[in-house]
Amino acid sequence: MRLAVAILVALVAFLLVGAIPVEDGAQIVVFHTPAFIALAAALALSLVRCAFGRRWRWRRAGFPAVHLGVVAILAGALAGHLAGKRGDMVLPLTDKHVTDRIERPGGPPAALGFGVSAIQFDVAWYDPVYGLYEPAPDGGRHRLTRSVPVGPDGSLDLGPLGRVAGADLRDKATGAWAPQYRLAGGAVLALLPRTPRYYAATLRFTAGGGKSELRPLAVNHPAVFRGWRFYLVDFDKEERRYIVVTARRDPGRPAVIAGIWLVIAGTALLCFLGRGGGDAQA
Amino acid sequence: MHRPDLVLNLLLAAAAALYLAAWLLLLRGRRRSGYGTFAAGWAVNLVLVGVNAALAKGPPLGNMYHVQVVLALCFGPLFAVQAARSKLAWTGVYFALVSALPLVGALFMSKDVGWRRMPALQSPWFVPHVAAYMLSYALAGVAFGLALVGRAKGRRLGLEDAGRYDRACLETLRLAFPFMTFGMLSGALWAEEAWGAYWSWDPKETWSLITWMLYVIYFHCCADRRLSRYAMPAQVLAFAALLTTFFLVNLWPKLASVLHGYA
Repeated sequence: MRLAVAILVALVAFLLVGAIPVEDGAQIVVFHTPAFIALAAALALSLVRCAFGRRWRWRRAGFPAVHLGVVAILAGALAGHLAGKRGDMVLPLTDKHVTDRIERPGGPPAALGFGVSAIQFDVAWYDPVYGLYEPAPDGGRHRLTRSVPVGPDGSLDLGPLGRVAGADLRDKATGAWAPQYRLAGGAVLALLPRTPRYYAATLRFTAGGGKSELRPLAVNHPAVFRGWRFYLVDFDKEERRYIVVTARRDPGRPAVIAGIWLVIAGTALLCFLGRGGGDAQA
Repeated sequence: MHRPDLVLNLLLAAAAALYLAAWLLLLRGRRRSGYGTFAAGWAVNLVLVGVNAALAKGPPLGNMYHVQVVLALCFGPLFAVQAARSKLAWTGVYFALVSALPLVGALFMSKDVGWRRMPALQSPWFVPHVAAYMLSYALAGVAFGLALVGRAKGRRLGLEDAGRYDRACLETLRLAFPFMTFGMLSGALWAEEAWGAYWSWDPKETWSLITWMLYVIYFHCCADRRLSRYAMPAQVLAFAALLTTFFLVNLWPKLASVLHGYA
């Protein structure tokens, strides 16, 4: 037990160092050092020893489940780190452009073994939101005081400052929303960046022999093909000419997911059904 | 003041006042009126959550103000579970006090309801992930309060009283920890679905892992007599990490989390 606690304390110390904010982000490089990996390995060995160190009855299955679940997560993460591949692709929205490799940060491109193209894309937007910038009391720069969404009737309800009709905010010829609108009293309405409500694409996968398969792709709904998973992460918001996709092949994924559910279930069994700290006696 | 803000502030003040009144009544041993007032405060709190949901046209979990209001709502049901499960009905006075605190803070927060759920947040994981964390943080807050009061009373009244509070603290954290675990790991599953990576060492993620591990250390210290004297320091550090995860990461620009920027 004391060794386990010592390892956990050392890991927390590493995490604290890694969480220190620096100029270009946190010091996450510490999480890729041999020392941290060795500590994680020591934790895994300690967990295995605890899980099999004594006989457990079924009604105390929570204890080994939690410990072995963490081991499965660590093992799966290690497998993914060593043998997995991950990279990004920018796919033009045309079936004439077929990509067969992914760009990897800090490494050479990796071949997929098949072609990918994006043949369809749909996007729906939320109604526009304007930022209300009011003059500072001391005469300084305008400050954003509130975000005001466009109402169902196309107008903006500014409360005490009144109402702005939709017709005043939109270009009569194109219907485009005005980027700025000055109010009496010096306040300014500025169009905030639009938020997409939904976007999705269809990918075409082309393997040898000219056969192709289609897969739908949306945020939170990755497309899967030949062991690769494709995630829709962004798109060209100005002209809708391309989408950005992350591709990943991770042999450790089943172990990580199984480990996660083991830890969740085991913790619930241990804490909800167990009897105080005695369930985890060394 | 903008009319919806005025209504929201009135509801906030009413709920907070009822919770504080309940705390005072329970402190004086008036259990019937105390629990009745607690229930009334909870009802107003529930109305407030409903109003927030109606204004946001979706789950009211999109900014710190929303989260504080939902957090306050968690304490009533959690107390009911705790009282029934572990016979800790005497802790109601602490649950009443901590119910008021998030609402008082929310009075000073922006009520901006212009938030739109971007596609990454439109996941079945959104509500369970955030709700699990809210429940666990609520209980961890109560546990910390119990530990502090136990220490103070132990100095005045003796070790037995401190022991009673330590046991209540442990039971409260045993209820909290599975929710904290689910909150953290459901976030990993969600991140994998959305971005293809379970864990990005994002500041919010790293601090939530630090918090979780410190509570793991606390439980291990409670389980071993040779380590029991480290249990209280572990809990203090864990709660400090929890506050960092919940507040500092959102509010301090250098710790700002890119992936959790909408939280």
